[in-house]
Amino acid sequence: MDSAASALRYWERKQEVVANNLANVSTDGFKAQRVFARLLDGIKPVAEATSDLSTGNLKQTGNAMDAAIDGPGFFVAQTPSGERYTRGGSLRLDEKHQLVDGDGRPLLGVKKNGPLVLTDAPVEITSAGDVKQNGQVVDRLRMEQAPKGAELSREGESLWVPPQNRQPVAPADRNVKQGFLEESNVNSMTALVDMVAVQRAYANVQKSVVEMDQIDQTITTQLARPL
Amino acid sequence: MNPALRTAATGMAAQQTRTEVIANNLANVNTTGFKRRRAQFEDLLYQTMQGAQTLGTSETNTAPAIQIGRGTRLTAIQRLDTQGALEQTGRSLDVAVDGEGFFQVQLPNGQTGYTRDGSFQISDQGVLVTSDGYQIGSGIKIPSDVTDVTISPTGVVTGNKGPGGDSTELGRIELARFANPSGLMAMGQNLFAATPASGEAEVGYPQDEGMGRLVQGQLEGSNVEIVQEMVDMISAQRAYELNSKAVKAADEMSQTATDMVR
Repeated sequence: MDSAASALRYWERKQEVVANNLANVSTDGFKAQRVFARLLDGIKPVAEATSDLSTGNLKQTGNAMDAAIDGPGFFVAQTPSGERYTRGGSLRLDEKHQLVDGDGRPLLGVKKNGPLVLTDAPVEITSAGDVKQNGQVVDRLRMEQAPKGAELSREGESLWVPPQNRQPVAPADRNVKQGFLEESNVNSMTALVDMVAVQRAYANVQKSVVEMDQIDQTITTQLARPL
Repeated sequence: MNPALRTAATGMAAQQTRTEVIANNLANVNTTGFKRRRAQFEDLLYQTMQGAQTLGTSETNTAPAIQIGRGTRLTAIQRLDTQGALEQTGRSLDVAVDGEGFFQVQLPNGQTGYTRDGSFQISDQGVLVTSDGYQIGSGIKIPSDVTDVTISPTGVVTGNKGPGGDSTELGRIELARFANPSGLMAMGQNLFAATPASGEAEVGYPQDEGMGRLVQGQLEGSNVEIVQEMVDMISAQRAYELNSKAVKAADEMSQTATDMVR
């Protein structure tokens, strides 16, 4: 019974994750989550989630202030709760002429290790993350990533919490694309199939709970009857 | 209640908003100076369902914390300020801005509005106004005896006094531009208002310091592309359907759970 309850909880978790993936099929820069079961004590399955960090489809927008990262790595944004990772998106200038993301969080540059202050001139972003105006490099955007195998923690609002040991992405390994947006990497077909599979599995476990209950009932009513 | 229900509902709401934005774009496919909009979303906060736990006695054998998201929300409806196609109208008071910049419009409440719609007219007081009757800039007087009004690429308005008369300068149209044009607030009637997000208007003459040039006898069409909107609409509709399936699945799972108790 205990292990069946644990299994039901696992399938519920998986359903919640699949529902969140599906809700975010149109969220630019969203990374799908996958759920696996791990056997605890040999009988109890518990849920384990990982993020699929593969690059989503890059959609050309022609908007010079849209920036996407083709490949691994994150931009570093300044938020009230500290530095956070973001995959880019629709950038703009705020009232202080700082380069900010769609939610108004300044992106940090290498030179001053602070926000980039730009003028009204057209902005050019190179694949190495250099921000240029009038042909002059203003600053280079900071780009970092988590060490291989480390799981990044999600904060919502398209933000990620930086890991313990951060690794800068070398300029040669960067591939920033100006005029592109990264679409969500949720595969709606896989999610749909997962959803059906989860539902069926859940129903099967439920059936076995009912059957075990019936066996218990038989034991108590038939065997415990005085001879 | 199964939280997946609510998560899927946020997904459905998001796709509905997206469809509304697309419908507005399509409705304005022939609106002079209209800029297409795009809905943008972000994921909601994550809930840590089970903390990181050590399995067995070995410390290296740990299961990481599992974080479950609670759906999506709208962050912004972004206006895409790309140039619309210039359409030849042949009307001398139609002016398009080719490049950056907005015409400045005097609103009845004393504030300044900004527009890309250059289908101008002459009011009963002989002043250059927009098609809704709002005065352009500080007012350019065009007397009734003036013919052949020309507007140069740099904004100089000239006209001939009387038949075969001398050409005289009547005024000059100025343009305004912003550090962050997508921060402007749309007021309807093709008008925009400055906001703290857009920054202060920077006023200058056309073709001066990065301002666009004026083109007489043409209007800037909407930058909506029907094919793009159609593709977006189909994808929004499918995503809506998918999320409704997730609602159904979550509901049926709750039903299954309840069925355990006979």
